[in-house]
This record gives sequence, structure tokens and C-alpha cells, in this order.
Amino acid sequence: MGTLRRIWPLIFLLTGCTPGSQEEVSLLGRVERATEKNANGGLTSRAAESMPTVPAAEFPGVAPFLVLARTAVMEKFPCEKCHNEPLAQLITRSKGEKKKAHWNIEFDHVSDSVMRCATCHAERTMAQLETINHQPVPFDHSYQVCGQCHSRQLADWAGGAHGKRLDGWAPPRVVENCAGCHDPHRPAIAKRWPARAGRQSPH
Amino acid sequence: MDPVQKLIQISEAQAGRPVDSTVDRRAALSILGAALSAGLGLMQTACNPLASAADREKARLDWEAFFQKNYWLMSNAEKTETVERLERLHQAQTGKTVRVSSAAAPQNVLYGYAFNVSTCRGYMDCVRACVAENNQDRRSDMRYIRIHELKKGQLSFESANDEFFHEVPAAGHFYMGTQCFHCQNPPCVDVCPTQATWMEPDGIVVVDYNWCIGCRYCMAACPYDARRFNWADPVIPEADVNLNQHYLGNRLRKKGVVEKCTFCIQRTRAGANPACVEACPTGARIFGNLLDPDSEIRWVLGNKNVFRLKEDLGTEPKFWYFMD
Repeated sequence: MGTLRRIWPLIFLLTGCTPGSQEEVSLLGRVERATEKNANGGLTSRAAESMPTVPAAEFPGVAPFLVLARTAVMEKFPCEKCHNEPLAQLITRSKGEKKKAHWNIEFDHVSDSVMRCATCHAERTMAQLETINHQPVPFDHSYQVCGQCHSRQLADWAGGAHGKRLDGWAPPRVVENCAGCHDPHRPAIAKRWPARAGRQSPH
Repeated sequence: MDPVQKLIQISEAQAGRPVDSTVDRRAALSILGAALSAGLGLMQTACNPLASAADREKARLDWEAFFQKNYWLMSNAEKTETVERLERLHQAQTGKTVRVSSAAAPQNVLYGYAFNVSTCRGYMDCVRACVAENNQDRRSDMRYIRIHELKKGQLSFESANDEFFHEVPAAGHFYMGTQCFHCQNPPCVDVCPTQATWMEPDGIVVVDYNWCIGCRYCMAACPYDARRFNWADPVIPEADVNLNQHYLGNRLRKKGVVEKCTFCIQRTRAGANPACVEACPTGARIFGNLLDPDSEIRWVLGNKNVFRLKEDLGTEPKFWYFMD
């Protein structure tokens, strides 16, 4: 009897609080309780196999993810693909020439008093990005350059609230780079006609 | 199979679940009544020695389809048999090979959706992709998704423009999409007299089109106008039919049944994103597993200020809106 009295709290604990007790759990309660790593039913996204990707930099509170590699899709990169002279020599040679190099690049990002080419590109070569503090940044990680000013967008992008996820919802997570959607030289996206006319619910 | 025997089988299968007894009787009556009228015609073809072999096979398949169980009562073998029958019927009718999946809900997955009101620009690419993916009726221009053009400064669907067709985004306006929210506590499911609609373990609210009797109670019960009805036989140009289908998703429907967004069950149960998410050019649509703490949807819920429509009804939609 004495033993039973001593172990009854244990019996109560084991029978009363087992997961089998099936109490009603709210949707948000169920979501909040799910903190363990999830295997997602063994499903995976095929994006990483079919697209050129690089692991993104670390962001606090965000699981590691992949970002679509920019250099694999950039057509005019690096400079040596077309030019055989270094940038400095090109500038010296073209002094006095009226012809504008890379005339198709129209700069409409922010006022000229704030930015110039060398705000994002390295001064000595356009084929390298730099932070404002002249730290080199590869094109594949251009989000680090954009995020210097657009910090809110960078945090949202890293977490998944901004930008486009590629392939499926299942891991691994692959996302577009900033420059995949926004032209860095004129980042605003132009107006256009919708794919379909809107309509009232017909049914 | 003998309809009476089938009935016994159904009631036996249902015995394991608490089911309202009137539903059983109603199901019984509907089967018996329909069997008498429709079954006779089918049987005539099936047993007619003069009909061609193809006609006889089609009649047999139709006959079997007519008496098939409700999907959620089927064993895995019966599900396989059912989708194979559908594939065979499609082959016989059109000569095309369709793939109808009966993939079950993945383990430990609960699908959720988030919509960025700041980023949606009203391009309507999602609507186009949804119609194409889900084999929706082109004649009545059926759409699961609606994009509402709202005036900045108010969140009123009464004054929203659903029929915009001009360059977007229009100055002084923002855009908000609605579709089935896959409520965790779905009122549409409670009212269905034939239990033809239910919530799957992964949270997707589905319809068994073979068991829907077209009473449209669910449409009346849905507070979000998410369900659509086939007033006529859906028309889809044969070349545009999406052949990658799921029994509970985009398989071809008939006249007189209700349908709705299924989070593209044929895609999402294979790890892909719904067609609307994939088509959205602005990344305003976010989809994922609510039970995975590393998913994008969980980051949005944890880090953005989110809201749901008509939250006070207690329907618990698994569809959140947020702003940048």
C-alpha cells in the first residue's frame, strides 16, 4: 500500500499526459508545437539538380538555402568575353570619343547624387561587385550588395516573404537572386496588361 | 456487382466511423433509385451480344464506376482499381493516355498558403495557370482564383473591382486574391449530405466528384465563395487537357458537380508548388508545410504581421495575408 501511495503521482503522469489522450488542438497550436526538423514526407524539390545554384550566405533564424547562380546566366560576363584590354586602358583610349559604351544600360535606380557605377561595381573592373566599404562580392551573391540599402527586403527575401521560390515547396529551398527579377540598373518593374480580364464570380 | 450487396459493403465500411444514420439511408435510396433508372440502360449495353467489344467494355467500366464507393472508404487496392478505370475510360474515349494519381497525403505535412498583398500587382498570371492546370470549364470561363482590385485606404470587398482590364497596377489601388482557403474547420464539409467532400490529413479539402450530387449546400455554407458549380458539361479543347491528374484534383468533371481549388493536389503531393505559386511573377504567393519549422510559410507566419479573412467565424483558414 505504501509503495502504491509513493508511485501514484507517477502513474497519474504516465496515464494522464500521454500523447494518446487526444485533446483538441487548434490549428495555430499544432503549428506552434511543430518545432522538430521535418522530413516533409520524403518529398524533395528537383530545382537543385536542374538549375545552377550556390549556397546562400547565413542569415539568423533562417535554415540554409540555395540561391540561383547569376554568373551561369549572365551573357556579357566576364569583360574578357568581348574585350581584350583592361578597363583602365579602355577608358584612356576612348577619352574624347562620343560613343557611349554599353549604351543599352539605362540607369534609373536612384538619383546620381547617391549612386554611380562604382557604388556597386568595383572601380578597377566592372566584373566584380563591391560593398560600399569595398569588400568584394561575387555576382552570385549580389543580394549582399542590394541588401546594404534594402535591408528589409533582404531579410524578407532570406526568410521567404519576398522573391520567388523555384521548383517546389519541398526542400531543398532554391530562390531567385534579386537581379533575376529586378534589373539592377532600373529596378522598378514596368506596368503591363494582365494575362486575363478580371471577372465576377460566375457561380 | 449486385447493388444490394454493394450497399451492405458500404454500410459495413462505414460502421467503423461515427456516421449520421440518415446519411446511410439517403445514400441507400440514392443508389437504389439511380440503379433502377440508369443501371438498366448500362446493363442493356453490357449484355447486348450485338454491341462491339469496345462498347461493351465502356459499358462495363461505366457500370463499375456507377457503383464505386466513396473515395475515403476505399482500400488502397480499390483506389488503384478506380484510377486505372478512369485512365482506361479516358483512353477509350479520346485515345490519349492520362495519368490519374491516387497518391495519399504525405506524412507530417499540413499545407498552408500566404499571400503578399503588397507584392501582388494584378497580372492575373495565376488565374491563367490555374485554369490550364486544373482542367476548368472554358465555356463558362470557370476560375477558382479571383483577384480583387481594391482602392488604397480601405479593405472592402463590396467596393472592389473584380472586372478590371487595364494596365496594372493601377495608381492608387492594390490587389488581393481569394480562392479556397482550405479551412481547418471547414463549414462546407459539415453540410454535405453525401460526405462527398472532406479534409485530407494534409489539410486539403477535397471533393469526390463521383459522390457529389450537386445540391450546392457546400457553396451556400462557404463564407468565402470558394466553390464552383458545373451547370453544364465542362468543355476543354482536347489539346489543352492536362493529362497529369489526381483523383481528388484536376481529373475531368461532369455536369452537376461542385469543384474548387485543391492546392493543386496532383502537384503538391509530389513536392511541387501549386500552379498559381509557380506562375506568380512577383513572388506574392507562398506555399509550404506548416509543420516544417524551416519552411517559408512558417517564416512568414513567425515574422510578418499576418491576417486571415473572417477569422471570427472560427473556420481557421490555412491561408494568410500579409503586407511588406
